[in-house]
Amino acid sequence: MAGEFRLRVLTPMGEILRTRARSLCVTAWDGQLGVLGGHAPMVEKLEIGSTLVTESGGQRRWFATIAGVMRVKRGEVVLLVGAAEEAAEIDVERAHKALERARHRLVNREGEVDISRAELALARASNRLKVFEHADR
Amino acid sequence: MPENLRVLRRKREIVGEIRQITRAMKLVSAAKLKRAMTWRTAAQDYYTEVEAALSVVAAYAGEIEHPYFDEDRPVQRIGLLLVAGDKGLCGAFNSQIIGRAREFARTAEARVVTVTVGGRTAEMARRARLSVVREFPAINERERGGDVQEIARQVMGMYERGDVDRVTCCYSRFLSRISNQPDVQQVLPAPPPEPLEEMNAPIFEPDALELARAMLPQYIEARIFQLLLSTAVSEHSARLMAMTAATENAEEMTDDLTRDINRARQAAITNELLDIAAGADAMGQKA
Repeated sequence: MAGEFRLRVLTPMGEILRTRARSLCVTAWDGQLGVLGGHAPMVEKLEIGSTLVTESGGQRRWFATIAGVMRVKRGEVVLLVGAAEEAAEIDVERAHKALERARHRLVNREGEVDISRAELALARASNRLKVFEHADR
Repeated sequence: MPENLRVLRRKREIVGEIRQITRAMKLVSAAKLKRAMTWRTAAQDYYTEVEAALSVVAAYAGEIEHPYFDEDRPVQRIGLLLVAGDKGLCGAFNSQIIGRAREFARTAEARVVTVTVGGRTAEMARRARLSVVREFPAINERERGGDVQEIARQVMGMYERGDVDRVTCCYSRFLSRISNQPDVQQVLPAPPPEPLEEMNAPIFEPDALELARAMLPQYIEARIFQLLLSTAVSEHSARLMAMTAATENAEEMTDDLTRDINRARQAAITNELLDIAAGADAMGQKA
């Protein structure tokens, strides 16, 4: 079908997803961005946020993704992100704990705290929770 | 039972126990090696794709002025990212990497400060008279993404702040399941990506130059990830080889000891028979 495209989500940890998709919605550097089949070649900067994939069968899958780039080629889209986690696989308890830990670190600032690292951890944990809650299950 | 025979039997028992341990470690290493190899392939695929995307961006970005590409920076201090194994019992694996790092430091044109990765790397590096400024444990295999990011950030930060003017990585290059080799590779400044023009100029969001700048840390990180995983794979394969050899040696030793035991037992029996025969002889003469 003309409206479909190959989609791959790659992270340093491995390939998270390889599928045929009907549409894709990513969190770009300047807001949400939708991609349909037949899109012109593009390289787009991605921010931490959610990624929604609608597979060719119509199934919707949500992912929590962190910063990276999206490359749109002819008939194929590749997401290159530092990490990606499917909503169904998100460990909510762990995310809550990570969130608390990061908050604690930022508020108390005991000893040598790497602020940017703690902020990043905070952003990741809250992103995971947000995606988990928003995903339609 | 004669003393000699007892000692030999005990020895054989101990060698058998050691063989069981080395055999178990061999099996564990084989499993770990297999897993680490898939991870290494994954990291390689990611790196290849990031590099390709950056190449396309670079083709339209014009001259990318970025400290990561600044080859002209005067080198006063070199940061050495020294990656060795997490544990011992892998033959000469660790000491070979340390040896390579030492040679690098000796011939370097500037002072070398070391950031170590691996359970015993810092200790071994200090013994080799390398100055260690930061030490990381070996990457945790399940959380490897976060661990590598932390290590990468550390060395990129040192470079950006001007603590070091170059970053070189000493690691183990994995060649095959039976061979690996300590190697040294410059990480920063990085070689600029080969520009790759596409048939139709793609859309860049934000513009190509800004995109290239944003992608650079990701590119360097992916590279460091690869070097770290290559070392991890090498370590498992080195241990697998060492433990296979140890198991074989133990088996050989068991065979030798069994032969010795049989000989000793035979000798003991012969002696006893001689004693009896001599005794019977003596009795016969009396009668």
